[in-house]
Amino acid sequence: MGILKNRNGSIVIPLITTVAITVGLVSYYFSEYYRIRKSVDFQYIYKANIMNYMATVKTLIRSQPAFIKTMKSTKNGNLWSCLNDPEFNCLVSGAQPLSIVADDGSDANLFHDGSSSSGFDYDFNKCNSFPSIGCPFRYELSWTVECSTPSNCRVPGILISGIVKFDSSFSKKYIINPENYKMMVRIR
Amino acid sequence: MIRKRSNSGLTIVESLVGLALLSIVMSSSLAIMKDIYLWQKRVEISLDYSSLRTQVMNQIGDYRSWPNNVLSTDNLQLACFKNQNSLNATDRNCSTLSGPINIYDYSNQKAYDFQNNNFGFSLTGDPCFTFNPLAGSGDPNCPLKINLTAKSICADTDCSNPLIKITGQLIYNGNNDYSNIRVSNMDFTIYKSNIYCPTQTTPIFLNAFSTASLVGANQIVSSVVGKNTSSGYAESSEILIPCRWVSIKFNNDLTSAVTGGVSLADVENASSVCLYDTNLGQCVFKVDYFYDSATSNYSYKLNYHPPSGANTVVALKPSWLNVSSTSQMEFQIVNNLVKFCVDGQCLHYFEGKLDFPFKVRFQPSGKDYSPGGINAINIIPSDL
Repeated sequence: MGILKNRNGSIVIPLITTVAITVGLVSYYFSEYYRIRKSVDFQYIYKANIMNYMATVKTLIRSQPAFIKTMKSTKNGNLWSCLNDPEFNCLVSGAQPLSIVADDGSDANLFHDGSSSSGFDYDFNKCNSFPSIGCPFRYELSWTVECSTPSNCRVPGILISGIVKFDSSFSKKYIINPENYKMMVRIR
Repeated sequence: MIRKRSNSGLTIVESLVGLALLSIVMSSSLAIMKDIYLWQKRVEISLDYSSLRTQVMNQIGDYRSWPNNVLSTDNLQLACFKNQNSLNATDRNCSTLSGPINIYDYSNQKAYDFQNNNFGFSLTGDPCFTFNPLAGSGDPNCPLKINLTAKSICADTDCSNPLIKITGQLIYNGNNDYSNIRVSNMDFTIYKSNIYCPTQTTPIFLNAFSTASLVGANQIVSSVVGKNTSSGYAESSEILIPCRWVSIKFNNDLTSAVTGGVSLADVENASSVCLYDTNLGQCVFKVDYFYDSATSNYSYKLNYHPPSGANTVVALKPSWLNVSSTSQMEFQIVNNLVKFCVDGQCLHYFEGKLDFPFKVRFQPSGKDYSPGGINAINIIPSDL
């Protein structure tokens, strides 16, 4: 109680204020610290999901029924002719959108129906409004050909490529380097 | 005077008010600190669980350990993969594959006992065996479970050596302090193909021709003067397993100088190599190699004769391709997919799945069409 008799007057109010400010600062520090940790955790899970996505694409390309169904899918334009018809002059320019089809005809949760607005939300569930805050991520698959000459593209080399795309709201919040998630698979 | 008055200190009322205020601040601080502590723990647990999730996914993704998963006596539902060399189609059928599986590591140690209903993970992600799925009765020291199940994804009616879909569902039940930890966003699905292929017996060579009318090493006698029968054949010494990588390279010395002329109508004109279903007793994937008198060129055609259905010609030699008697033909089999290649260039992909153990069967053209017979046939299997 001696302290309360300080000749300079009451220090109760400054003490309470100090405690309150300290608690406030500590709370703020921890909340920020764990918000960042949570963000890191989210990125960790999301990166694992992207890697798993890429592994699924590679697995399906190596499965005979999925490979044939993907190559023959009408969503993939002339891909089957380019691969399997040596008489076909496969003059396609640039990257063509690729839809992957699983053995049972499903999309194996890859969600690539050829639509440029299909993507994934924060929980890696499918969504239809990419790019947007609620649908911030997309893994875009495409196929390209390598022709022997610009005018002769019979039996071309065929490459499957994948790149990640983010909505700007996602890129501002999380650091995921798209370069680390590029994929390239040669099928011939 | 002022100094004197200030020496009087606080009244009891002021002190009590001060203490009351201090206790309010302190109690709310303690509540905040407790919340921070719980939040901190939740974040730590979430981090541990996401690490655990990645660890489990990596272990499932490790292709080297899958033979151990298949060969384990725990995982009976994966047994059909061991039977991919069986001549009985029912043994090879994996359509009923569905349910929990245990996961083994590369050194054949059981990494995760997922078939055990009480197998779970602690708050730090360590394995434990006291998980209780009953709501409200969960063990706080073993509150997380991963329901890991495998299911075959069959293509149409075929389910030999299928793709499998592995689903991991995370369930939290145990410690109420952290009950709002969100694990549903950690559920995962992994696809695996070609998880196991039985051992292939080697070496593989071409057996002697199975006809009494053998003339030379690789030729057969004529039944009609100037025209020869092609009923003789030779087969590979071993049955080959379709779930691995197999290269069958061959060329055949054909000639246009045939007594009586060459016509595509002559069955003796064609020399063929096929992937033969010994159970069915028919060539399913086949190339006929012949001299085309219409174009004065060597040519080929590919046939596919499925178990149920008619034999159809699925591809012809492209017009721009020059094929000679020394051209190297090849059937390339990669995990049930059959390609046909000429001089290293894979031109055709068969749509049908090679889903049966097979023999390579060589059936030469008649002697007059093929003076040199088969030049070479090399069958090389290897792991994928």
